[in-house]
Amino acid sequence: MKIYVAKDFSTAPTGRFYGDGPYSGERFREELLIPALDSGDKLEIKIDDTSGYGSSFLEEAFGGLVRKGYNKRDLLDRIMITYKDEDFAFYKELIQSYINEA
Amino acid sequence: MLVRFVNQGKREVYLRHQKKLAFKSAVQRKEKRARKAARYRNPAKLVYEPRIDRKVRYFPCPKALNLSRNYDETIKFLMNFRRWGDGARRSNFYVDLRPLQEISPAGALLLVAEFYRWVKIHRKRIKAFDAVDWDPSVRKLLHDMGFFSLLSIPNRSELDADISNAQGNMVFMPFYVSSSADGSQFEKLRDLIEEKVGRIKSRLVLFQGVSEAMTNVVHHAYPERVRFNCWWMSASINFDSSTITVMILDHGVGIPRTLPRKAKLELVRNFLKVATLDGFSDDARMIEAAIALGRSSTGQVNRGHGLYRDIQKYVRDSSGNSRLRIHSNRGSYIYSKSSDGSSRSDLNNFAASLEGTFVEWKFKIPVESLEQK
Repeated sequence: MKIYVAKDFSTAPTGRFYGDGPYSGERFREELLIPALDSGDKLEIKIDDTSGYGSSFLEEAFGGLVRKGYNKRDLLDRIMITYKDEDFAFYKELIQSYINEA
Repeated sequence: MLVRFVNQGKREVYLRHQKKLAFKSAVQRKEKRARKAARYRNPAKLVYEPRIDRKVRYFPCPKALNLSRNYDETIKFLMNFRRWGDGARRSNFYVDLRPLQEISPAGALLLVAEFYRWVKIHRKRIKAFDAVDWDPSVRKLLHDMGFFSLLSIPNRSELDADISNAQGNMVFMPFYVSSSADGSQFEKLRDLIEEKVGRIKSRLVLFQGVSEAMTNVVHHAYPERVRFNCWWMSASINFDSSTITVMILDHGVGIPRTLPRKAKLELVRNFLKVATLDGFSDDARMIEAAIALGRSSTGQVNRGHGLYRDIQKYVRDSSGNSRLRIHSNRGSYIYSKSSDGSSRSDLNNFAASLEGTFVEWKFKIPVESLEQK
């Protein structure tokens, strides 16, 4: 499975919960991440071409998976974060840290 | 025996004097409180307005709307208007912008937000009879920020022609307003900035900061049952100093009131503030604590780090010549980074409260962008 955040979700992902705004971390997790994780083995997430990511969005989307019962090691093995633009490299580290810290 | 009587007499005189002093200071304190209360109750005096042939509440604008150089007068003027506008009483009023000679981006956004608030609460526009008499440079900047969309202006076409002829090295961007964390609003603003100065350096991190500031407003700024829960956002470009400012403002309860007070000293200070009503404030320290310690009103460990991780990050990671300024209630926190890479934090407390939170990022336009333009 592959998720291209800018095309499949939004170029401006912002907010933590559904009530925060139209493209929140909770919405991304519930409507894209969980269905993709439940339907396949590996998941590639292409994170570039967006305007950026707030930490609330990333923490809720990825840290929220662990709070929902997904295994940390399993998630780190199955989720592959990809980007062409090197400016997005630090978001990969952030995502991994949110999974580890959750 | 005689000595004892003399001492007793001295003691009585001393006690009478102390009692008198205590009474005097109590009276002075009472008078001071009464003066403060009177100011709060009657924010504006009544003046006769010949154009409508009746007395109106008069709000004269100070010469400068500027948080750095004229904080007290700026906030006093804006808060007087807000208190009056939010009140149940309805009567005519006159906000006199003719004295205004200088307006900073922050001052303009604060003014726009107050007028927006009034327009939304009262569901009508404010008539600007005297817009032709405003300072032309101020009028142009306010027009650029979208202030005129909140006003009903007679002879608008003449005014528009005047504005289009005005020149200046400062450009204000239109304001955006929303009550949700919607990053696409900042995308629009960023695109407008980039049309003028080219690609913003570390634009991802700036988006990260602004989007987190929006999320903070939605989560923490406003109590649940409140009729007004917006944020306002704008930006400016100063070609003289080659700087860009991006600002976001809310009229919420403020960072100091949303944080849990952990340390005993803070509890004591908070008690003193309530007990003395003497303008004592530790708001700046509370803003600093929110950034440094990552405290959140939710008490959850995975939350409350946005101020440090996202909002301060743009300046912290920059190569220099940038500044983050946060005003919240009576406190201000400025984190600046100079060209040699050193950083410093400045805290300040003011007598008047902004009654909300204002966040501003200020940074240099990359030289190559200016040369290309």
